[in-house]
Order: sequence, then C-alpha cells, then structure tokens
Amino acid sequence: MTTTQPGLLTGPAPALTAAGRAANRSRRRRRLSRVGVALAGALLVLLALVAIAPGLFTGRAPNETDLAQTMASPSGAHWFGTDQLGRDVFARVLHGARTSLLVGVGSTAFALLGGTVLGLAAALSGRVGDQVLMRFADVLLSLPSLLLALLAVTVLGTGTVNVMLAVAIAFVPGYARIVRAEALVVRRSGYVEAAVGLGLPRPVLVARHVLPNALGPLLVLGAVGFGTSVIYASGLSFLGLGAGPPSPEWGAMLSEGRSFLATAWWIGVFPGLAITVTVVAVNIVGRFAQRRFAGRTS
Amino acid sequence: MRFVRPTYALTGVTVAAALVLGACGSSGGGSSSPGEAVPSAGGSVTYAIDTEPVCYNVHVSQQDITAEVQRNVVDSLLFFDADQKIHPWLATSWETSSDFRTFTFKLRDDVTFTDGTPFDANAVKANFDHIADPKTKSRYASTLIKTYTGTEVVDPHTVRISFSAPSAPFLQAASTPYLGFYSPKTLQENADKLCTEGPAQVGTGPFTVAEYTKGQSVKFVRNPNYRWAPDGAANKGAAYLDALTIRVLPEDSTRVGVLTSGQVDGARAIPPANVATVEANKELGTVRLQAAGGTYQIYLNVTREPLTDQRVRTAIQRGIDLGKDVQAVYFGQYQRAWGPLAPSTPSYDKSLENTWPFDQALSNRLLDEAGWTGRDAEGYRTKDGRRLAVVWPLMPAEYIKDQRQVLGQAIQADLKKIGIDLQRPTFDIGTFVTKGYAGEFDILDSSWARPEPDILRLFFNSTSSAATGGQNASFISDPQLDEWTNAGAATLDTKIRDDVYGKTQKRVIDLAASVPVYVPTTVVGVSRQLHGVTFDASSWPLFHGVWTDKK
Repeated sequence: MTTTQPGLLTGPAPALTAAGRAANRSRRRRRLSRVGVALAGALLVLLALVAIAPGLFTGRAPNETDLAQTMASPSGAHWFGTDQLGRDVFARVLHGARTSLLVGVGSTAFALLGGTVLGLAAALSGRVGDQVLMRFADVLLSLPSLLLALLAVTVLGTGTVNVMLAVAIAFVPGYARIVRAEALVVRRSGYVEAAVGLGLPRPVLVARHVLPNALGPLLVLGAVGFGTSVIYASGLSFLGLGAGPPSPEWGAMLSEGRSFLATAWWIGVFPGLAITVTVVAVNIVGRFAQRRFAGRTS
Repeated sequence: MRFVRPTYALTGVTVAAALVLGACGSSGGGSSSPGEAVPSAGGSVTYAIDTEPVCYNVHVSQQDITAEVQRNVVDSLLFFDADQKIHPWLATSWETSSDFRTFTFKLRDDVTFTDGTPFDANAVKANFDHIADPKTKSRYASTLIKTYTGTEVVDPHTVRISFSAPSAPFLQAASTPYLGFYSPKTLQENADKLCTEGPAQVGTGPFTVAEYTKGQSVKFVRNPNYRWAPDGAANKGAAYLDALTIRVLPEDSTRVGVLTSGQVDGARAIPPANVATVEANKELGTVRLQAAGGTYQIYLNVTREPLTDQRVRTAIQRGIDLGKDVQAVYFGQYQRAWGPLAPSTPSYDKSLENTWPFDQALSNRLLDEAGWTGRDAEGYRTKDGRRLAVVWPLMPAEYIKDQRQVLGQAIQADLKKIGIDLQRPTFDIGTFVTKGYAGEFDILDSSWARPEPDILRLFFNSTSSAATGGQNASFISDPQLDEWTNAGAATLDTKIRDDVYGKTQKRVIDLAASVPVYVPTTVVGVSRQLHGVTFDASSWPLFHGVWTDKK
C-alpha cells in the first residue's frame, strides 16, 4: 500500500528533518541533563562523606579560635578564609554539613513517617475518620509551612532535634494528603479487590498491597522535599533557633557573617553557597527521580 | 524583662556637651567653615535607629531607645550635662533635706504642654503618682523612685517630693526621660495607650509627634511655642528643624548603607566592623560615645553549684582572655572593662585597672585546688564523675546586641582551654526571663546605662533581687556590699561616695561575682551637613539645637 502512495512518504520528509532536529536537540538536552544529574549525584555522595567524616577533608577543628588570624581572606592556608574569631571557615562549612544534612534527612524521614500514618489512616478509616483527619490537615495546610515550623519550634524549644521535628511537622499535612490520595486509588484497584475477595485480613492487605504501591510517588516527593527541609532548617538556625553556638551550622554561620558582607564576604558567602549547592543538587536528583518515576507509571 | 534590657544604647559622660559635630573637622563641602556656621531654622532631618522601642511610655519602659526617642517629646525637672553638672530645666531651683528624703523644686511658670495644659505643681504630682502607681506596671522609672511616699503641692509652682529612705541619686534620676512629664490630661485619658500606640503623646518637649508607622518610623514636627530649653543650651527658643524623622532599621548593613548613601542624615549604633567605612566617607563624621553606668558584665550566680566555690568563679574571671577577645570582636573600637562601672561613671575606681589580668595558669591551679582534677573524653574537667559545666543562656537573636553571641563564643573557647564546658542554650524570651528571675541559670549577662554609681546597689545589694525589680543577677548577698551601696545612696558627698563605691567595685572583683567584659560604646555617624548635634549625660542625641544645611 505504501508504495502506491510515494507522495505520502516524500511529503513529510522536510517535516521529519525538523522533527529530527528537535529530537536531536532534546537528546542533547537529555544527555546534558544526565551529566547534570550525575554531577549532582556525585556531589551528594561527596557531601554525605563530608557529613560522616569531615576530618578526612580538613585537619582543622571547626571551633578552634585564633585571634591572631581574624578575618583573614581566603588563601592557601585558609581556603575559605577565617571568621572574626579566626576560625577556619572551610573547616566550619565541612563540619556544618553534618548538622544541616542530618536535619534535612531526619525531618524528611519524620515527615514521611507521619504523613504515611495519617494518610493511610484517613484513607482506610471510613468516612468520618477521613473527614476529621483531612479537615485537620486542611487547617494545617492553610498556614504557610515555614510559619508552622516556627510555631512548632517555639512550642518545642530550640535545638537541632527540635528543629528537625518542627520542619517535619510543617511537612506532615502535605505528605498525608498525597498518601491518602494514592491509597484511595490503590484501594480500588483490581488486585486489592482480588485480595479482598481472597479474604486477606485487613492489616496484611494494607502492609502487602496498599502501602508499597502508595509509597512510590511519596519517596520521590520526599527526595525533593529534602531540599526544602535543608532550607527551612537553615532558616530556623539563621534566626538563632537551631543548634547553639559554637557548633558550626550553615544557617547560623550565614547569620553571623551577614554583618560583614561588605568587609569580609567569605564568612557569609561560603556557608550560603553550601546551602545553595546542596539544595540545587538535591533538587536535580529529586526531579530526575520524579521524571523517571512518572515515565514508568504512565 | 529587666534582664534583657538592650543596653547598648549608652550613656557617655565623656562626650562634651559642646560636641558640635560640625566642629569635628572641616567638611569637603567648601562652604563656610563649621566654626562660622550660624544656626538657621528650617529643613528636616532623618535619623536611623537600630531597634524600635517595645513600649513608648517612658514611665513604663526600661529601654534606652525609648528614652532616646522620647527625649524629643518629654522634658525633665533637671538637666545633667556631659560633665555631670546639674542645670535647672523645668525646675528653676531646688532644695534637698539633709537626710536626702525630701526634695523641694521651684518650677518655671511659663511652660505649657503641647495640648495647652499648663505645666505646674499638679502636673508634677500627677506624673510621679502615675509612675509609682502599681497599675502603671513600670519596669524602670518606679525603681528610680523606689521609696517614693508622695508629692506635696506647696503652691502652684512649688512641689515637695518625699521618700521613706535616703535617695541622693534622685537628682540624677529626675534628669532622665524616664521621669519626664506627660500632660496630666493625657495621663487621665490615654494612659493605657501610651505604651503600645506609639509615641502619640503629649509632653512639653521641643517636638510633637506628627506621624507614627509601627516598625518603621516616627515623624516629629517642631513645637513652635518651645522656649524652656535647659539652662546652658545654645538654642533658647523653638527647635531649628521643621521636622525630624526617626527611622527604625534593625539590619546593620542596611543602616550603614542608607547612611553612606546619604538617605539619612545620621545613624546610631554603627557596627565596629563598619566604622572604618563610615569614617572614610567625606560626607560623614563619627562620634564615639562611651557609656557611663554598668559595663557589659557576665554575672556569676554565686548560689549555684559549681559557682558557689569562689575558686571556680575566679578561675572563670581570670581564664578568659578578655583583652584579646574584645579587641578581636570589636575591631579595637570598644575598650576592655576592668570593673563593674564604666570609666566615665562618677566614682569609677581607676586603681582596678590591670589588677586582674588573664592568667590561665592561675585558673588551672584554682580549679585543681577546687577538686576538678579529672578529665573526660572531650577534655573537660570532672569531679566525682561530674563534668565542670556552666549554663549561660542565650536570648533570642532579636534581643542580642553588639555581636555578643560571637563574643560569647570566644569566651567559650577560652574556658574550654581550662576545662570548663560553657553551654549556651537558647530560650524564648518568656522562659528566659522567668528562669532568669528565679535564678535558674549559672550565668547572666547585661550592661546598664546610667551615669550614676548607684547602679552598684541595683546589681549587688542583697535587697535588689529580681523578684523586687532589682538586677542582682549574681544573686549575691554580702553584708559589706549592702552597707557600702546603702551608704552611697544616702549622700552626695563625693569623698564618701568615692570611698564606698571604690570599695564596692573592688569587692565585686575580689569575690568574682561578675566578670566585667567591655565598656559599652556606640558610634554615631552623622552627615557633615548637620550642625549643633549634642549629647546629654546619657549620650542620647539632642535634636533641639540641631540645624541643617540641607533645606
């Protein structure tokens, strides 16, 4: 049939080249973005290493003051310069990675856990329970999440663990909604109905079928949310609500350095860069995972 | 709240009242030399401050910034110049009883409040009664007249103010804005609004409030009828400026930025790190004002383990390298303190200087003697398995001034070297104040601006506990300190005061009840277009005599 209609083949030919160009472009873009993802991933691995063993990368102690060397600009001896007490900014940024990442990971984990429990409970507890839980989530969602975190840290008190919990609390309602939505979809799927038909007990049903299938999109969201958690945690520390001095923490360092942006930029800029780079890397990897996941399910 | 008084706003007796900025140096403007400048009326000026008063009522607030802003609106009975000399102001003359319990003031008869109410003996009585009234909930003014028993209206222009205990420092107190005067009509009708609704208040001052935007600015306009400036003021009549705007700019870099770019004519609290930048600007001059009053000190709570042991307290006092720490954190702009009083305070004991230098070896020896001989994994000292740790809480960030949290880290590092774990948890302000008052912390810090050595009584007299509105943050109870500070309050004889206050200062250091750290200092940056800027004994700027080239 096709041979009898050569025009149909020749006709679209120029369009094909245009489409081909577009395809090339998008391929190139995809390749570039792969490189970006690889770089971001490598950076995150490096950051994790730094957080676990900062001593591998710097011999200096983060809290060691040297009043003869205050506010020294970046040099071979002090890569990121020194702050007003002569502490090595490079060492402080590296040692600060642990606190910042720990709060990011911890709060995301807490938020995922809390969100999953609440979301599942809402989806599976019948109409009244669902209404009560979701209206409660609506109330929390109506508050800006940073405000909610501030409120939580005011009630809980300051400190690293409390900041972690506060950020988690801020994210729980959002996650709960997603889990609930996913769980509702999964619950009506054929395989769950089949399992119900087979007479599986409810806890087993939830644990074996509903939870694993509802959790996928949540984990991806969690990866993206991790970046936001790091920002929130730094923000709270910037306001002096995080780890107490003299522990190095990126947000707190940024706060201390901001008065010197005109005279000694390195004190504030490097911790600020650390936050930015971490969050951008996490977001690149998170979005990549999200795209991959979306591609797989559709 | 008194523990958290943001006191970096200062009292600097050192500033000559005649300190006319225009005379500080020739400006690059090429206009007539400042010495020849003749005051001219008109124009408006904007001045940037770093914190907004939490409460604008001078009778209630304990904040320096309240006094500084409200000095434009309220006048006082007396005026203390920079040399601690008393001048008549709203009172033309005064008499003091020999026991310092009764003070009689003759008042000017030509003064009116800006609402038209005459200023007379009844107005004085209404104000003092208002301050002393427990319903006013005064946080500071009432402590200045703690034993007040009443005001007697002798005649329309004579008042007799009485106290139940000797109150020699009252004359100085009567010169502060905290004991300034609101119109009796305002006190009757709007007393509840004076605190929170901004400075919309009626006084007798050289300016009246025109506009107030919470958190941003206060605009004052000239009081055209003003002709009762303190005796000795250069300007006898109404203020030269048509308008004065005070802008609240808490962020240091912003405040410095608007000053150097010419958007404001003056700014207070220039951070030490930025002083060089401001001084390099040809359009600007700086004035460095050293506070009179209490130095910035860290008070060691003598009632709490392990600070009950004087050896531990002395070890802390001598184990901090204050000279280097203060130099580094404040870029050499602030002076290290040697006693509980700032050098510019009357009866300051100069002989204390250099008597207790940094001595790490001594500190280590004292701690060994006190039995803190063990060491744990982190290198801190231990005794019976317990770590040598002391808690010095941090206020929420918005209350911290002068980069004191950074200075605290330098102190932390010093103490770590002698094996003391100095912990700095943060509390919300409510918890901080409650626990602080209850004496639940090992260390508290503050500075206190008042050019009057009687503050030693406020801080070290056993009756001056936090519970009674005092500031005894060391929670010390020492018969000699009590005796001397009481004796000082019962006389104005300089010889006796120098003696008892000198002994008090020395004993505070000997007992290691506090560690004086630095002399609070503020650097004010002012445009060279401004002239006639003077400061009172508390180093608050006086705008009444200011004029500007910019019309």
